[in-house]
Amino acid sequence: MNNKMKRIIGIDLGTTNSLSATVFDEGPEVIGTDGDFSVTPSVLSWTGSGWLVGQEARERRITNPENTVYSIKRLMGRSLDELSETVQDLPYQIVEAQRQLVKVRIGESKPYKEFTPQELSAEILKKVKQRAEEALGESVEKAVITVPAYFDDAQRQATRDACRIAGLEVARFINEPTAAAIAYGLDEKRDLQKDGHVVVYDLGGGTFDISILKLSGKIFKVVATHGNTQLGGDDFDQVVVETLKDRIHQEHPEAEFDDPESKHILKKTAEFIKIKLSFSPETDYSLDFSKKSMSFSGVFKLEEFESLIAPMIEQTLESCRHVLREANLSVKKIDEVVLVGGSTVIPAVRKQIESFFGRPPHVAIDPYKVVAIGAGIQGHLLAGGRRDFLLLDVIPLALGIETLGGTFSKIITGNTTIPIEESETFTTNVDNQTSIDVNIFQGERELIKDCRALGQFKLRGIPPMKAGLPLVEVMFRVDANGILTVSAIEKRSGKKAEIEVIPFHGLTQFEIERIMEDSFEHAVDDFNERQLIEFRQTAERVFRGIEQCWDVAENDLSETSRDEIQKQMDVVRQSMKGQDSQALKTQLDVLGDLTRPLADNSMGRSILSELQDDANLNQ
Amino acid sequence: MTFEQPACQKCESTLISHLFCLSCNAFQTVPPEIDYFEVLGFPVCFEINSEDLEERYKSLSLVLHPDFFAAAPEEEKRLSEKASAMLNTAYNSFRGTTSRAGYLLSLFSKGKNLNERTLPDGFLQEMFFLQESLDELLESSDSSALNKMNEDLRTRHKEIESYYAPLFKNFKDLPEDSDILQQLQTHLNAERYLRRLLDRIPATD
Ligand SMILES: Nc1ncnc2c1ncn2[C@@H]1O[C@H](COP(=O)(O)OP(=O)(O)OP(=O)(O)O)[C@@H](O)[C@H]1O
Ligand SMILES: [Mg+2]
Repeated sequence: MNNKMKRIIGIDLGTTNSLSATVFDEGPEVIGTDGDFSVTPSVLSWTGSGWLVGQEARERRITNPENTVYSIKRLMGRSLDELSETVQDLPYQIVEAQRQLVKVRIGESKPYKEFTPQELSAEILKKVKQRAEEALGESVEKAVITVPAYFDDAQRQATRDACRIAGLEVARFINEPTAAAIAYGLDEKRDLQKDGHVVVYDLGGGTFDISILKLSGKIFKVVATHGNTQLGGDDFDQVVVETLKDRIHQEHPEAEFDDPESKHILKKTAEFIKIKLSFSPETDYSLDFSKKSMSFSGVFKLEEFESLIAPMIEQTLESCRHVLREANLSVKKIDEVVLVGGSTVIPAVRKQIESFFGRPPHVAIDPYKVVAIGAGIQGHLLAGGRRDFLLLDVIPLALGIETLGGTFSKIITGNTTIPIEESETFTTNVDNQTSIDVNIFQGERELIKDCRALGQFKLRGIPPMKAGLPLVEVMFRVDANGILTVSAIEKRSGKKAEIEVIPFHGLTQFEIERIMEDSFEHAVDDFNERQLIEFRQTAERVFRGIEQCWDVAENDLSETSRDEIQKQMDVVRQSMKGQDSQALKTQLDVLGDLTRPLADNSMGRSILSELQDDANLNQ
Repeated sequence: MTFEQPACQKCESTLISHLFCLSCNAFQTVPPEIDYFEVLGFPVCFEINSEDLEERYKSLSLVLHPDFFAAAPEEEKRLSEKASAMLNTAYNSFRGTTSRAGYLLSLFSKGKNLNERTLPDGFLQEMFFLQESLDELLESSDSSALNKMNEDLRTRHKEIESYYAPLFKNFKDLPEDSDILQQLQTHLNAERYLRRLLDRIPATD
């Protein structure tokens, strides 16, 4: 990478996990110093004065459930109405705010702390950014951010606001499946057919996306895309949770699970069961509700799991049929199928896809990393690192306005390649009318009641004329990020009509600025505290790692080294009780140095596996 | 309307698309009424080979797209976005037989008032009959019969679309013949009618 070129990293901002990637001299790769742990779980936990983000927060899901927030992506750009089902499953509180926004509420009594999904998502982005900066040893200002192809305008706008709050400039939004296709298509080592139709099937934690791309030469053109922003691994967990509840109820009919701790325990166990069943025909589980002094254990069979998730897999296949129809292609015309997302590891999912498309899917690139890598490659292109390929992306759903009788009149049709500009001319209904209300919607249905309201604007300042005379041209412009802006002009007078867009589900510029100021103040205050908590958790982890391989250490280390380690562990324990994060860090570093000979062989592995178990990343 | 070979406003080499000079990579200042033929650099004519269209679209996208101007000054970014949007619109419009015919007709019929309701002789009766059978089929939800109807309607749709080309051919020699324009408009009206019927058939596999 030459000096003049400012690096643009790629970020996969996932429902469950987030990670970044870039193009190194050796090629595109995930950014991170500690192997698999370049992944940041998309989880936040409130400490009382600031947020812990990522692994540290994930560990507090059981110990501190009411303050621990996950699956934020599902809330982005959505109203409480639309979220009614999701909300029931989540252990944290979600409340309605003005303009159909939702907020996450922290605290059991007043004064509550309330946060918009945008702010929370920004915390995750900040963490990913900070980790990338540490690993790269340089500052990061710009990123290509991936979003589910099926994200509508409100969801994209919300994500853009999150980036602003996080102080990251969005160089480009690209759709997750498109990113995956880039990662495959531009990887010379793998054998993805160069030209042809590629299906990308992405089943992650919270969203499902299916896209068909046409590859020809070095152009990746999205032909059609479809999906469901409310379907993913979380839902698989949820059906398992329901089954577990039923089973417990048979033994403890009076048991209730509405408290955050129970919800978290059930969720964690369900996910554990699900992941185990990806590799074995049955699994044991045990639930320990310590606050209720109740425990429960049992066996979960693969067959049962498969029948539970069958309807959801079928739903994804329904989307596959839909997207083929949109693209006017038969299954036979599909040359490759690429799998993306943690949930595609499930054998039943793979089996169904294989039988649907009549060919085994591509899984050469790690399905967790592929989206970030594609975004990293796109970032490299945008930074000027190469210009030998081009991604032609689409908007997923039609954009238009409400016309007479509540019908939806499309101005830009769905699956149109972006950027695009289209206009439509309106006129007045009454004499001397000087303003017109325009309601903007997005969707594929005939009636606006079945589409999503994006916003509303008033065309003001139309010169007084007889009804039907003014020609007001309304221009819809969708930029290469898939984001809509609207402008208008009265053509007879040439007067630009004033437009006041009132976005639904969105933040105003003022709100964004306020949040940024707040979080800046917090950041200064909380820095020590946050670090303290992080370092304490790191220490716990290191202790567990050392304990696990202490037997081996007997062979590998001299008695003096072992003594030194023991002593240093005591020092660290002491330091953990204190309030000085930097002191703790220093002592931890010393412990790190002392245990390096271990880390080089056995301990490295065991800490790794312990962590891996926790991140549920075992494949 | 004649097809002129325009020159680049900067280096004066011959332009293919009016939007951008492929020799010196300069965006061109274009009038707002630039037509899709000028955007894509094709002579004004109905028949455009779909492979040529694809190729042209790709080669222009590969130079115009905003992704290649992410690090460029704001002004160039804006121009690239604008040019890319025009290219996408033109390409989308030319890809479909009917939309291309409709666009070409709109260029030729500027200032003429064509009747947008006329239909070919006997067409309305045919459609009434089809509509009735479709209503019945939809009610009975007999999927195999629906599929059959779908196929029949698609064949009929293709047939209508095949009427455009010969008319546009004749048209070249008779530029003032507005009867041919009206004939074209009539077929386009019929196509729209039929398409609405097709849209009512629920998608099956
Ligand atoms: N081995 C496995 N078997 C089954 N499910 C798994 C496995 N590993 C991970 N998952 C599930 O995959 C999901 C996370 O996948 P991934 O990290 O791709 O999602 P994400 O990118 O965060 O979400 P999204 O793309 O929806 O925003 C979780 O629901 C997790 O439980
Ligand atoms: Mg994902």
